Formats: sequence, C-alpha cells, structure tokens
Amino acid sequence: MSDQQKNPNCKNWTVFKLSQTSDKNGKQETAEYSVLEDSLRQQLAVFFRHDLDSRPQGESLWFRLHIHGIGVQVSTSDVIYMVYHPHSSYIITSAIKVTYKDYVLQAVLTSLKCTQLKELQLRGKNLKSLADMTLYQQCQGSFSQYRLNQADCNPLGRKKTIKRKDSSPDALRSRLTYENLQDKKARICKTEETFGTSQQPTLERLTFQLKTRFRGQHHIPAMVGHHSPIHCTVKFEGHSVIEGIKHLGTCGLASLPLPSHLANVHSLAKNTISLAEKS
Amino acid sequence: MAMDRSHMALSQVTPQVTSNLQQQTRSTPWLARRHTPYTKTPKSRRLTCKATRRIPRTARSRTVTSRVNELVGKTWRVYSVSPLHSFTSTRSHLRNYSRHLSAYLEAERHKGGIAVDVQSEFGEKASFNLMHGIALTEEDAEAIEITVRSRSQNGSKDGKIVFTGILCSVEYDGVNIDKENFVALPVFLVKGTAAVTRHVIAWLKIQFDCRINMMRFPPMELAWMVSMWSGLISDDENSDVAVVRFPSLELMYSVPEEVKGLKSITMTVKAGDAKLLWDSVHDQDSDDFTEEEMESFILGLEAHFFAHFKINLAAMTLCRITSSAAFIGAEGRVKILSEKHVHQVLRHFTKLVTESRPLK
Repeated sequence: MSDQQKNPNCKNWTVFKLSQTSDKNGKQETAEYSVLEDSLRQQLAVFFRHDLDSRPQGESLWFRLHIHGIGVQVSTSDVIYMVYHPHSSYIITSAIKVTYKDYVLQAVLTSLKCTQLKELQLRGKNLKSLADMTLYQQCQGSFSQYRLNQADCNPLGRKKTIKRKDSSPDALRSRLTYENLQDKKARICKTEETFGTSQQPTLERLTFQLKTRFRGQHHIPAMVGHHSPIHCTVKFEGHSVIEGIKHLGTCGLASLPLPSHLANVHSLAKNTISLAEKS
Repeated sequence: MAMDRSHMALSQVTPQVTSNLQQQTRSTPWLARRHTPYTKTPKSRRLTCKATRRIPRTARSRTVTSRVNELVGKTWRVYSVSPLHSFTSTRSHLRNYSRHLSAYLEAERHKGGIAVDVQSEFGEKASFNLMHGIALTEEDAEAIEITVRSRSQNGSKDGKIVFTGILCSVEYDGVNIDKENFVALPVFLVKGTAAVTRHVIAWLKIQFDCRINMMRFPPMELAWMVSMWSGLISDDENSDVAVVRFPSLELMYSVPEEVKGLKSITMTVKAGDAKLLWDSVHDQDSDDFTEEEMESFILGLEAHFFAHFKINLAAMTLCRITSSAAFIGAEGRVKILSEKHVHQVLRHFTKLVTESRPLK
C-alpha cells in the first residue's frame, strides 16, 4: 500500500458522493480509522473472503481491499484502493470489477452510516486534484488564493528592498516590440481573474455533450429555419486540460471571456458536462 | 537604336524557333509553379466513382471472387507509387517476383537487416497474387497483393503473415504514361512490421525503378475527405461496422505546443445530424462536391463549436477524421470502415497521387 500511496497517479480513480447521513444533525459521525476498518471488514465478510488494510496519509484514510478470487494467483483487478477524507461526503476508489461493485459499495455505505452513494461524473488519474476539486469545490479559480494563503502577505516578514531585474521572457527579448502588448496584458489579467494564479487541478479529459441548435447558420444558410438540436460530443484531452484551457485565452486562441461552463470547470467537480438549450 | 535592336530580336523569333522553345518548355519535368511547394486546391471533387455503373472488365472477371472486403476494418499505411517499369502481372512473372523477393529478404536477414525472432528464424516467404474486385475499369491495372510469411516451426506451409501490401489503382487518369513499359498502380496499402516493410519497399524501388513515398494528408485534404464522405450514411441496419461502432463524423484537432496541458480537441457529430448538415450544403443534383460546399461545411461546424466554447478551431491543426467511409490520420494511416466505400476511398487516393505528381 505504501507504494500506491507514494505513486497514486498510476491508477484511474472514480469519485463517489455520500449523502443522506443518518445523523440527525446532518453531520457525519466521526469515525476513527480502526473502528471504520473493523466495521468495513465485518460488512465485506458477508459477501466474500478478503483482506483489508488501512493506513492514514495526511488528512485521508487509505483502504486496501483484496478480494480472494478463484485460484491462488492474485489479479490486480481483485485489489481495490479506497481513499476517504473524514468529515467529508466523498470517497474516491480505484477501478472496481463489475461483479464486485455493488457489494463493495453496499459495504462502504453501511460502514459509513450513509443511506445513498452516488457515482460522480468525475474520473482521473491525479488523486490529489480529484480530492481538491471535490473537497474545495467552492474555492477554486481566483478564490484559491485564499485557500492557499496567497492573499495576505506575512505582516512579520521583512520587505525586500532590493529591486531585481525583470527576468520574464518578454523583458529579455528587448529587441522585440509587441504591437498588441496592452491586449496581451488585458488577456492575462482576465485569465487570472477567472482561473487565479495557482496551478489548476489536473484532469486528463473533459467531455461536453451538446444538444443545442445549430449555431453556424452564417456559413450554412439552409439551416436557418432548423430548430431541432444537433447532437455533438466535444472532448478536450491532455495531461492537464484545465491548465490548457487557461492558456488558450492567454495565447489568443480563444476569445475572452470564456463561457461559464469552461471558465468554471474547476468548480464543477465533474469532467462530463451536458449542455442543452434553455427550455 | 535599342528599340531597333529589340525589334530585330523579335522578328528573328520565327514560328520554328517558337515551336522549339515550346517543345523545350513542354519537355521539362518541372511545373511552371515549381517553386511553390503546395499543390493547387481543386475547385471540386467527384463524389462517386465514374464506374459505379461498374463496367465489367472481362467475361472471366465476372466469375472470380471479389476480395474487396479484405481491405475493410484493418488499419493500413498509405504510400504513393510512381509507375512501375517492366512490371507484368502474368502468373509466371508473379512467381518470379515472389522468388526474387524471398531471396532478397533472406539475404537481408543474414546481413542482420531484419530482426530475427523465434517465429521468423526459419526465413521469410514472399508471394505475389492478383487481387480481384478492386480495379474498376479497363484502364485500371489489376491490384496486386504482396504477402510475406514467416515459415512456421512445425513445417506446415502457412506461417504467420508479417507483411501485407496491396498495389492498386482505381480510375487512374494519369496522362502521358508509356503503357508499353510502365504499369500504373499508384496506391500502396501496407500493413506489417517496420523492418519487413522497409525492405519490401526497397526491393520494389530497385526492381521496378519506381519511387515509393509515404503519403501524408495535410489538413486541407482531411477537410475535403470528411466533407465529401459525411453524407455517405448507410440506411441498412444490418450492414457495416461503421453504423454500429463509429459515429458519422469526427474531427480531431491538435493544439499548438505553446498551449501547455492541452493536447487535442475532438468534435464528434451524430450520424443523422452530420447527414442533415451535408444535405444542407450539397447540391443533390450534382455528382461533384465543390470547394464552396466544403468550406461551408467545415466553417459551419467550426462556427457551431465557437458559439459554445469561444475557441478558434481554425487556429488548430486538423489531424484525424472519421466519417462513415473511413478513418484517416494525417500521418498516412487509413481504416476503411465500409465495404461499399472501398472504391470511393481508393479512387480518391489515386486522384491525390496523380495530382501530386509533376506533369510531363
């Protein structure tokens, strides 16, 4: 398990939301990880023979579940990792075999004393980013500066009086003159207002399902009277898609401001989004 | 005085001199626009094969089995081939070519040119065969299939196929080709290991004094292909893999490197909607698809995308397309998805090869 904790980005993770807790105050019961482990072990023992280990890491609890399949050989598909943040409504799991999925989720639901477990449309390889997007959903983008303590400078820190040379790439190219320097600065400013200055959460894929009227009538006049929706799927792929979308604006490949479903994608906590006409 | 001299120079240009000059110009292999690296964009392209009214080649060819379906569902690399010198497709000649290629590959293997693995350590066996059903008209040469097998360990005849290549031509209209000495098979579809492919191509170049180059499909050509073929949806539910597995229209754009983090943007349009857009753009009475129709189709899709995302797809590079006819990558990979569209795809590739050649 320690290997997996050190290299969590090798697996594909899925996020589940826990809801409708049985506690009257609406807060989840606090559970120590040993208590939680015992409870989970008891629930899983009803369905299959298994080995269960748990280990805390930072603010999260890791569980490694090995389900004993047929035969002696251990298959990687029989090993499931679950990462749970206490006091949160989310649990993140690695891929679960279809035959085991319902039983494992039922055991998790019962152990955490919840009544409903819903799979979010949020998947990826970067565990930390998935956790950030779900746990800090309301403080992404430009608000992340408060969460990351970047807004206020340290009042006890010494002010540096030594002026350093501007080593940005633009300043180094002294022989180049940008005709649209103001436009460039305006774009950078708008982008920082939307996305903030911090690194964006890492998502490998972002999918949009569109069911909207055709918007290219200017080029295809015959479609002017046509009101039924065109079904489209758009996929953005890369090693950090949200970071890439942020750079599209600064590089001039996108017109700013970006539409809200792109600009706020860091706060949506999903990477499959449907767009339809307003009814 | 200078004027007089020039006047005299002009008067000295007799019709004979003029025709000599013209002949000299005609005999140069270079186009007048030789310094331009790009080919001219055609104003229109034909959608269907002229011979879809399929002109039977000979009485015999009606009885042979068409092997067109063997091209479907496999990923091929496309190469362009200049006319082959002294190539004959009689049975005895094909047997000779098989022997020569086998010997060449064996010699390369002993030299260490081809990696030896357990399966191929007993040597490679090449064979040349006619492949019926691909050539459409009398002018087209019959397609040739080249396979290279490794001999199996248990001594049986049929080993594992390590290379398949198909030389073909569909509605080739290359002019000024000396038909007595040259055979035009301009499209070469290849599927095989890199080492064997390299050696087979080298042998073909030496044997038939031809040029073989990997075909690349620039964004403009991909735009043409996706625009033309998006209207070719099969209504038959039982037919093709394409209707079940693949959408009608997919455009994949690669993002410039300065945009760090984002590699590609893929736009997929449902089959029926793509057909609707295509019908709105194309004149149904015409068999030709014009440049204006292609531009309208592509720009319409990019405008639809822009309206939702405010991202300029025109600033990206179109690198892969999928239509109901074929999946095509800019690097020269193709997968024909439907048996009905094999001839259309190959005819288009034949046309592209012809257009890219300098005229005599």
